Amino acid sequence: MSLWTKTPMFSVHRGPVLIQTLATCLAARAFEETEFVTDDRGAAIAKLLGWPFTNISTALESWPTDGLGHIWALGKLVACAVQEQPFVQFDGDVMLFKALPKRVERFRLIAQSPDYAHYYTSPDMLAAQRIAGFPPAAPAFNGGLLGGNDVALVRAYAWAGLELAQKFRGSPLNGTTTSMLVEQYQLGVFAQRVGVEVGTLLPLHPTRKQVAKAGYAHLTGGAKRDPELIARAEQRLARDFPEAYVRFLAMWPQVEALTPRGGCEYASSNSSAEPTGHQLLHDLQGPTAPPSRVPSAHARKPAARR
Amino acid sequence: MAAPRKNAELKQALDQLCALIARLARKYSIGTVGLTGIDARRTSMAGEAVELLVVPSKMALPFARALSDASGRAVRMRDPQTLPYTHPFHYCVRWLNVDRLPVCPFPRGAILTSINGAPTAIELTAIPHFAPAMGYVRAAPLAPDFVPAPALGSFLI
Repeated sequence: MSLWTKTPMFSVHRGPVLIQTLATCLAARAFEETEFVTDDRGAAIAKLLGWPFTNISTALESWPTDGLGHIWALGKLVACAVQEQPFVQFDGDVMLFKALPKRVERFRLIAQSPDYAHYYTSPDMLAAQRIAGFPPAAPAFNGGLLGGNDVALVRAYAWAGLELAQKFRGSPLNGTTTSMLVEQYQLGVFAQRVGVEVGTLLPLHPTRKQVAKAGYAHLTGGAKRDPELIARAEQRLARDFPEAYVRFLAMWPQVEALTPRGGCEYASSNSSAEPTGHQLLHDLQGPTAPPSRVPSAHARKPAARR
Repeated sequence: MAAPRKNAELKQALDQLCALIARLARKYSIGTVGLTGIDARRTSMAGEAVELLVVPSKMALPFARALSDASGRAVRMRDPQTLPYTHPFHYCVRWLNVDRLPVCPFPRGAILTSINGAPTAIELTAIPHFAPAMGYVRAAPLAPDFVPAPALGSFLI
């Protein structure tokens, strides 16, 4: 997982951070080793919240970003570019309820799913394709999950994306369009160029059954700010990872204080209908220990190799 | 062989979608629902919204949310009476769970000509839910109700 706090797209809100906390706990349960690639501020957030990573790297702190900060996907590409063993990178809004199936682990390049072709046909996107020198209508992949068992190839893909991003320095195209191009569209073009099939966890439009079987959720875009989903994630965190949840409640004010543009859209608007964190824990578990007594990391049981 | 198989898959998917819509329409008591747009034309592409003609009611939005959740797709509802009579959605509708067809007025004598300039493709009077009106028909602004698709796997949380 990666978190790049230097991009202007980064902001701290309680809901998305809570979802990311749940995502890190679920990943630690599904994988034997997890690494967090971030910058100094991201590392401080992870330490405060006790995110259970095996290793935290601050490779993004020294990454030169002049004129490229708006391309938020570069953080993910840097995380992919510095890996030395087969890996899978997943977004902070991706919930992995299960380890990846063996059939996916066998692929040299892995992505979440093919992406919808019509996402790549807007005038902005076509302009970005021209700047990149890419053909239109190439296959694209959703990068909620990225990686592969051929680490050299995945690194080559990531470096190609970082190189490509240089063409967009100072470009008027928005960061999301450019990010989708250098990360997701580029993966399809790269795979075609090297003649390698991209293995995906899910098909383009998976059925509910396929999603349940994969044990995979991706709360893209506005879903991270949906009060109902945030409430469900909070309940899940409190029920499945109570230590992490209590720590989150205790440390959230400090996390907010770490960030100049910190906000608390959800917590500050807690209405009587929304249970407060401690109330929720009380309802689920009965009286709990005060936050200060919570250990810094939760226990992990052995999981599938990766 | 790929095309027939694709057609069969599309037909099966469409039948399933129609059955789902009809079931939910009964459950939410919203009467007649028209499936239109890409699904009705059988050109449906994964990830695109389900386009519906629904007479406004209190239960329409809960119905759309349930449909979005069950189908995993975004749902866009339009009031047939405010959809301009020239709108292509009117001409390819699969009316489901038919209670009674919503009646949409059109200027008397209006005809639709095909894109290729053939004289008359279809007369509006041939479409059961159009009724001729004397004089100009004011087209109300389109204000579709839109329910976005649920986030991937959000039901697992």
